[in-house]
Amino acid sequence: MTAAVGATGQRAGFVTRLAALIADAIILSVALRGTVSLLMLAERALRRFAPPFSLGKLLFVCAPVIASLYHIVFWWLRGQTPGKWLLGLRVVALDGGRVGIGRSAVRFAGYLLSALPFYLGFLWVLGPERRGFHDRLAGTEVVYTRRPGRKRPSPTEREVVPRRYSTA
Amino acid sequence: MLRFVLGVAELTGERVGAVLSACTAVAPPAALEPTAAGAPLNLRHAALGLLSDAVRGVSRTPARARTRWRNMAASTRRRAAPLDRVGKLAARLPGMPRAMSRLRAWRNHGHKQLARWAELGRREQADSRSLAFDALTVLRENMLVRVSESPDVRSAIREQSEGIAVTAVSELRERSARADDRAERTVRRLLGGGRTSRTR
Repeated sequence: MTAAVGATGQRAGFVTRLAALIADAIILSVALRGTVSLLMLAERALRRFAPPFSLGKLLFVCAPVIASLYHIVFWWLRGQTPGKWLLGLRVVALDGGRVGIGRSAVRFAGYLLSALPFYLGFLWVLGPERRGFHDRLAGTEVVYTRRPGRKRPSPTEREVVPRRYSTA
Repeated sequence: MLRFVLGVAELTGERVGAVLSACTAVAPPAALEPTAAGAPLNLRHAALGLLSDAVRGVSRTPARARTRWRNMAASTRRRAAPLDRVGKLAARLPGMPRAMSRLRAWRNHGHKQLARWAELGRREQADSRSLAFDALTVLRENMLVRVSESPDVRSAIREQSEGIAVTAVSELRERSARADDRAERTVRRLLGGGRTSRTR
């Protein structure tokens, strides 16, 4: 089916993209909760020298901003968040180029808009083009970083080069 | 050196004993079926049987010797009852009490010497055990450090871990990609698209 093939490769489907999103959510929540807990612990230990406002609570309040920055910065700098890297996905522009910061921000705004009508914008990925509402809004697509079906040879399968020992 | 060898032998014996007891505790003895009358003779089994018989005989020897000695002592006592009287008379001979007291002193001295040797042996055993234990611990740690610092072992471990991680990630990606196709086909079928098409 040619519609699911983008400029730089085959477009990723719904399940892989959902798995990547879940992985990102897990990473973000673990990192945020861990940092908040550490800050709270530090504040409790250094009660006298702690600042007048709670850093942990501030971080907790800023979580949505951090989550948006996480996505935007990763898309902009690497074209993939850690979750997408784990699942072997990359966000690219429709012409195959890299995603700029503006396009990344629009894409993230598209995320929010996609979620508003009962996540219908995300379900659009199940269509033949494999592009969600946010992809259409930002002019991007998500492709597999390598063609599925071809496994990278494991280190034991790689060619073993005999080591040379110097006699000097 | 001797102390070290003794300690090593003791520790090894202890370890082997522990392993053997663990083995016997874990593995229940299997029920043996009697050998059939016309079965061919197994020489290995015969040799093992001979060895087992010899060991059993040797282990029974002290008990047998003790019984024989007891019987002999009893019969000697019965036969030597008249001699007892002679012994009492001999004890009254001049110089005999002095000789007896000297004999008792020698016996006490012998007992003390034995006790001293026993104490010395006990200390020696404890020293040799601790020496061997320390030496073996240092040896084991050195070996472990050498093995873990060996570049070949390290590279092997790294390659193994990398291989496992790469395989797991590849498997995850493959499965998710297959699930993508399956999900799309299901959705199309549900929506009445009819035609199922593969994206790959």
